[in-house]
Amino acid sequence: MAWRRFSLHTRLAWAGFLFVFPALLHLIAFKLYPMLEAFRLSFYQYDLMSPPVFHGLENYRAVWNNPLFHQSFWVSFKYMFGVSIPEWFLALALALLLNRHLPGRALIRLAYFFPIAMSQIVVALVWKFMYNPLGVVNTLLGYVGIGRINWLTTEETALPALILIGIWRGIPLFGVIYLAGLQAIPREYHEAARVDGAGAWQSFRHVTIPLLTPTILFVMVMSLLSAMKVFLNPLVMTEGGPNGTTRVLPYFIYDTAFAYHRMGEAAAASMVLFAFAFALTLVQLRLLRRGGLE
Amino acid sequence: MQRALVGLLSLALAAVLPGQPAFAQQGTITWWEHSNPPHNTYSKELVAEWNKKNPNTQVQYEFFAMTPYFKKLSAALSTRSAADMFTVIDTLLPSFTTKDVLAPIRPEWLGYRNLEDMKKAYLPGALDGYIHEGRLYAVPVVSSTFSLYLNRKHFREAGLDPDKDAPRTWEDIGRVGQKLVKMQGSTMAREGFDFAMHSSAWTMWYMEGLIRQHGGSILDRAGRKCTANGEAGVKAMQVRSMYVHKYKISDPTVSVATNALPADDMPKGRVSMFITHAGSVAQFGPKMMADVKVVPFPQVNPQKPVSVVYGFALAVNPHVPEAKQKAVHDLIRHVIRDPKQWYEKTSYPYPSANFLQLPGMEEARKTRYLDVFINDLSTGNFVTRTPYFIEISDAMHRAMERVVLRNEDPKASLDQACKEIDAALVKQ
Repeated sequence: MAWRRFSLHTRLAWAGFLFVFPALLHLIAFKLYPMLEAFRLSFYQYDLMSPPVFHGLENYRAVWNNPLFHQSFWVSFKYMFGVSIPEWFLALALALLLNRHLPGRALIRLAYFFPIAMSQIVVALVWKFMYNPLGVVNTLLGYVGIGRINWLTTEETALPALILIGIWRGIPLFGVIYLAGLQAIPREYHEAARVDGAGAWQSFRHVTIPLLTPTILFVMVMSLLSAMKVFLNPLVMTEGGPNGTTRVLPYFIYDTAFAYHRMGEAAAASMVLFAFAFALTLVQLRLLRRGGLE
Repeated sequence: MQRALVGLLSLALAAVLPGQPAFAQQGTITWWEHSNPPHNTYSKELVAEWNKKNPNTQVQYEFFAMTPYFKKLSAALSTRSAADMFTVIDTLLPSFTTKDVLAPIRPEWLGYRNLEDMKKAYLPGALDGYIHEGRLYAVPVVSSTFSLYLNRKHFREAGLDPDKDAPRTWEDIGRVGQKLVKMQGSTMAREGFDFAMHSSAWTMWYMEGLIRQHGGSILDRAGRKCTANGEAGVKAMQVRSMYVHKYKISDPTVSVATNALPADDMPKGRVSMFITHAGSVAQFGPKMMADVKVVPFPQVNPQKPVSVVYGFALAVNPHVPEAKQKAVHDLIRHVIRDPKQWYEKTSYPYPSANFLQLPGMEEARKTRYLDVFINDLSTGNFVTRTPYFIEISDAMHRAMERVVLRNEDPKASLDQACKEIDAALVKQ
């Protein structure tokens, strides 16, 4: 009865709130709270077991003075762009291919989607075996006269080997996103361009790309962010080695927190990673807007 | 309205946040261990026996790959979500005991009058790695060291006698290894000898043994300064790398080993000589062991042998109620009750005082190289005690990788390692 005293507008607002409440609760408990807690911890000395002690900006100073942090940052940087840039182009090429009327198109799409459906730990283990000095990759290379490459144990090849897996896994996901974007472009636009005498390239350049821009932007941001967070493959396949050449920033943070028990420094490094990701996203948005792609 | 919202939020939070940790479940004891196939198989058998005898207190057993396991354990101890009983490695004891995350072991609950009485039941020094400020924090199940395994078949193929030509010194390994190594063009098809490269813990065990043999140590006496870049450390690092760069009998980039089976290159025939622990006897199996000979840990001076000792032990979660801690002690008694069976199933010598007098051990001394392992154990000491062990071993591992993989100067690489170690120690 008391409920009826409220206006319809208020009741609708409450009903709406109750619908989103579980999602909101999840967001607060598992996203916002850990982030705020990490920010708070970055100002404390905390070894996971004793009570935290306020430490001011000391953790940020320690992280900045740690050569392993700088090495890990550059490994992450190389990994991010090494994976993302090929993904942007190869995923678009795949989407354009799958957008055509090919025989068995549905089957091909399904096959390309397999890497995403597989558990990441399984992918890491399978690739670890494939990259073994006596594994299938070297066997295949041997058929074309290329000698044994010790992919995961040589400094020069370990990171490229992980980058290849990142690209292999990312292309289908972003390909599907591109495909959805391509299919949302009305066919009439391409027909009109054709009537106006535009060739395939001109139609792609002046019709497809501008209309696909929001998708391109989404793919660029998402691919960089997901590459920046890579953790499982280095953990399972190389444990950050050899000699730190695959120790990405999330792995550095993990080790600092759980192996060295320096949670405050790990939190400070996480904040740096977050700030970098945030800044990178802003720069991307700004550049794309300035480039008139929006 | 605002009040109603706050009330609603509080109610929802109270509903979703757990009131009690998972371990408070009645009637179950959880047990975590690191991965080691024969050891895990035996633990499962012990759990099955226990569960049959104790239907009201069932044990739930899980094991995890070693390196991630100890990280998981640290995180779980800090969040009070660790198992009721868990296996710890001796090297982590200082960081755990100084932070009160292990329950003291009660010797009287294990059937002893007190700690002194319990010590008498173990080999001299066997409990030392687990005692902090006069209290015992874990009960050893594995007391181990490293010995040198040789492939007899490879020796004979190379015209060597595995008995007469078995290396005793590090230089011997280089010379003998040159006869054992097999090349296919520029590719090393079989290594004459190799050190495990898979984990920093193993690197630390090897390096500490080598540095001690050269008369040095990783840290100074107070444990506050790195001394690994002294003359002994440099010599040790030169030994560590000479099989790759000087003798060319080792290819550190080729291995099929994993965390669970670090010595797996040996049974696969990919290496002729390898340094590993006693547990490898069970991991290799009797068929492979028929082709293997085990000799003592190589030395700088065989007249004054020096080795390192490490161990795994069972610890109790301090956050479980006392009644449950007592039940966990009962489980520990059940696990360690039969040192002979323990040895037969895992091939790790059990450090009980009467171990070598047990029936059947005489035979094992002759046929399963038990004498070799016991001898290496008798010349060993536990590795450096420090709460910063993982950071130190990671720094030493990176130093080793720089020297072995990049052929960097040992002194410069160790200087860098000491810089990293000192930076960690200064945070004490």
